[in-house]
Amino acid sequence: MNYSWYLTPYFVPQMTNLGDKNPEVQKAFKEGSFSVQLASSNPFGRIPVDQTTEVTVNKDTQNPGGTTHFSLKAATVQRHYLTAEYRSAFLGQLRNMVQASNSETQHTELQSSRIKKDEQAVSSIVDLIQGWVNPFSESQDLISISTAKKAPREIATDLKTAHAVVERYYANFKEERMEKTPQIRKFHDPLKTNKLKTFSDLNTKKQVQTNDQLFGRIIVIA
Amino acid sequence: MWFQKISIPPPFHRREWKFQGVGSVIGPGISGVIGTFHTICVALAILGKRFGDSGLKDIFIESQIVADGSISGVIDGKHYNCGVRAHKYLYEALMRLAWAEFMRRLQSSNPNHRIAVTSFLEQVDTLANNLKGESFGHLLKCPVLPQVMTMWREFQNHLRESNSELSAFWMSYVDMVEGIVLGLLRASREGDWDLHLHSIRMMIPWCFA
Repeated sequence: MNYSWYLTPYFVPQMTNLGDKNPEVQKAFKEGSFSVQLASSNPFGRIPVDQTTEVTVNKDTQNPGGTTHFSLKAATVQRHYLTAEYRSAFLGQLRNMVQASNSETQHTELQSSRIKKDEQAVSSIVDLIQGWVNPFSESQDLISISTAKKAPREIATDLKTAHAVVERYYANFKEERMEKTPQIRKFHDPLKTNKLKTFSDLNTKKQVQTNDQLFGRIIVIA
Repeated sequence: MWFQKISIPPPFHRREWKFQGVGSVIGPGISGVIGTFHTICVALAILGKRFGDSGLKDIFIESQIVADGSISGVIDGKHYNCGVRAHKYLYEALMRLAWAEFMRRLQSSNPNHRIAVTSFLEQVDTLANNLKGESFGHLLKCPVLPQVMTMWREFQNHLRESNSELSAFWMSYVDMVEGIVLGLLRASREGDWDLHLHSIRMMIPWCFA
């Protein structure tokens, strides 16, 4: 839900109008400067910017006790953080020198053992689904593939119409909070959750109201 | 104005962005946006929520792709590597099942169609035995390719719209994995900005569910 706040403004005003406001930024993005190539000789190997910090700086900064809780002194933690990126870079170079990193080699997905493993996994899923319920065979109601439990009508309707419903919500959100002047609602006004039902709602247990009388009756029956 | 794409680690991002609003200027000339990696994690969580109890969890566990203990992490989008891999497997498996069904229905259809598909598959076999860029280009120019592609697309649309409720539901899974998760991944790998924007656009509405 929170991500509807994050992603909508990201997409709508910033990225779609990027060409008018920041043409040089759009040019850079179009050239692919929104992802990072870590290893120089690895084709199809760029990864998102935030993933790069995760696998380099954040990973190298990990201590026993997390990234921040290794010391109670605020100044120590701060000093540790200020130099984190340099330490990470040095570590990276050290690893390259001793060739402990394998980032320069080919994709693991292309190794023959991995191909075999992948093939095995996919065929085991295919066999499994064929043994349970094949969703693409003849006409079937909306049931769970594994338990073959049928979805009640309201869950089935929600699952079927979900896409249309969420598209409508998105259109409303955009119009009310961003496009119309004056705004009908403020951008950060509370947003009601949709609570579209899924199969998970089949499993929710109803709470039984218990009281002393009930237990009394059970004892009497026993 | 210089524009900087920054990503803020989770403990800070929640606090800062609540007040500043993502996309607003958070410093002189600096705008914040959410990073692609964390966006993909959210996409995984959306998939987990919509499909988790309709068989997804059981498929992952029973086929031993995901261990019992890590399934909740995969469904919540916390185990990135494992989650992406598991969804790729299931996507591939579903496409295979759909293709098998396509071939089965082809048996009872127009003989011309059957001949077209058989001759196309023979050419694919030739390519598989002799994997070269040249023979791939040859395959793309093959005259039956447009016909086979149209038939396959029509069959997919049939599964989406007129086959059954269950097939429509699982085709929406296929579309979401292909359009959002794999789309974002490919866009990052290749640096394809338009594909990136397209995938984000496909994803936004699902955040409202």
